[in-house]
Amino acid sequence: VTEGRDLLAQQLERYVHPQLGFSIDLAPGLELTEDVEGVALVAREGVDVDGFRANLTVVVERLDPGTGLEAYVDGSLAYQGPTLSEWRLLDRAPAALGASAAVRTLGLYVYDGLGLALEQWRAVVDDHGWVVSATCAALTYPYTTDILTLSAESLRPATRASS
Amino acid sequence: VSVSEIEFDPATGELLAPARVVEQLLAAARAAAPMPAGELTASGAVEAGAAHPRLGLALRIATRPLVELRLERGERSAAGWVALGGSALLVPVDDGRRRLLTLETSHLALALVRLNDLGPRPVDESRPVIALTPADLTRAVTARDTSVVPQTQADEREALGELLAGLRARWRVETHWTPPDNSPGTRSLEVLDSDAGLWLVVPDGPSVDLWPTTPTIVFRLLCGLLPHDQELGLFD
Repeated sequence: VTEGRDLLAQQLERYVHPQLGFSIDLAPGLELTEDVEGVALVAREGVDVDGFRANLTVVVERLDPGTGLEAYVDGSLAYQGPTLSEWRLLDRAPAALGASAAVRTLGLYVYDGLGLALEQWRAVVDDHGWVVSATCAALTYPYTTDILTLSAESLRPATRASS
Repeated sequence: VSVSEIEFDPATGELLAPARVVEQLLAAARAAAPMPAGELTASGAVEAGAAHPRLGLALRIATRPLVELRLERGERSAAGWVALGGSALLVPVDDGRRRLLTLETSHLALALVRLNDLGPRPVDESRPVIALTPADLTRAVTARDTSVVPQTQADEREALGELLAGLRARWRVETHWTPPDNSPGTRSLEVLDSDAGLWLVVPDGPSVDLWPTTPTIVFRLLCGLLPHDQELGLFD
């Protein structure tokens, strides 16, 4: 398993956001968009699989000072759930984004008639909330999650010290 | 069977009926015979000897599937079918009737998750693997009996106790398909779902191992039960 992850990791290429300074390792050939309102980065597969282009997004948002990670995740999920059709949370577990403690969640929802799996990593760094979201057609999850997880967990949020 | 026992929604094609009626419908569809009329006609499920088009789709999927699913949850069982045009499920409802419905195949994962009530559970990475015979596992689950693990295996016995104290369900999903040479033609997943966490039931020779696991891994395995296109010989 470790060898497989290493081989996958070697395929990824480092991306650095031109304004926000965060970095993330992405599979080559993804379509990158940096001008979607409220989303720092959208990286999409070039081809549909089961009618959907798997994608990874990065969102950065300013938080009330002192907001803790668990409270941030609770609030974020409470907002997100009702906005997604047939949303169902499957898992919530500790994770890491670089040196930052994070929470990983996995859920399912329906968008435009398609069943989708949404895996997210959230961290709080310097009073900013960071969310990396990986979305794929639900039934393709076993085949897409490894590389999307490697990408997501490679995120290095910009910090006051690094910016 | 009274008319009130049969409910059909022409908008969705969903049929709620006694098991015997559903079996009659499936048998007629398999034999390409006229649909059983009287009881079903009043509900709108059958019109002039033919199934309503929405019900007909479910019957076509169920009788000419690429993949069959068998679901067990405690004493209850259900069936599912996947075809090129969509999927269908036949599930029990609390009053003893069966619900036959169609769904987009892309919604199948969500449906299986709901049917098995998969959701966040605690994860304790220190939980040990527990090896049992299949008979001892059944005894442990039905009688909530931890004595199937010897007292000398204190960690395993304690873990089994926690599992059984919070046991929600023992569930299993199997898939079957007609395989080309490079495919087993079947896969299965069995899970013990407890407030203490999730455990995979993994056959290991004459015994079974209970492996502590996470909802994410269970979801991944659940999706992986369906064969690849190549395993179905679709793109040879």
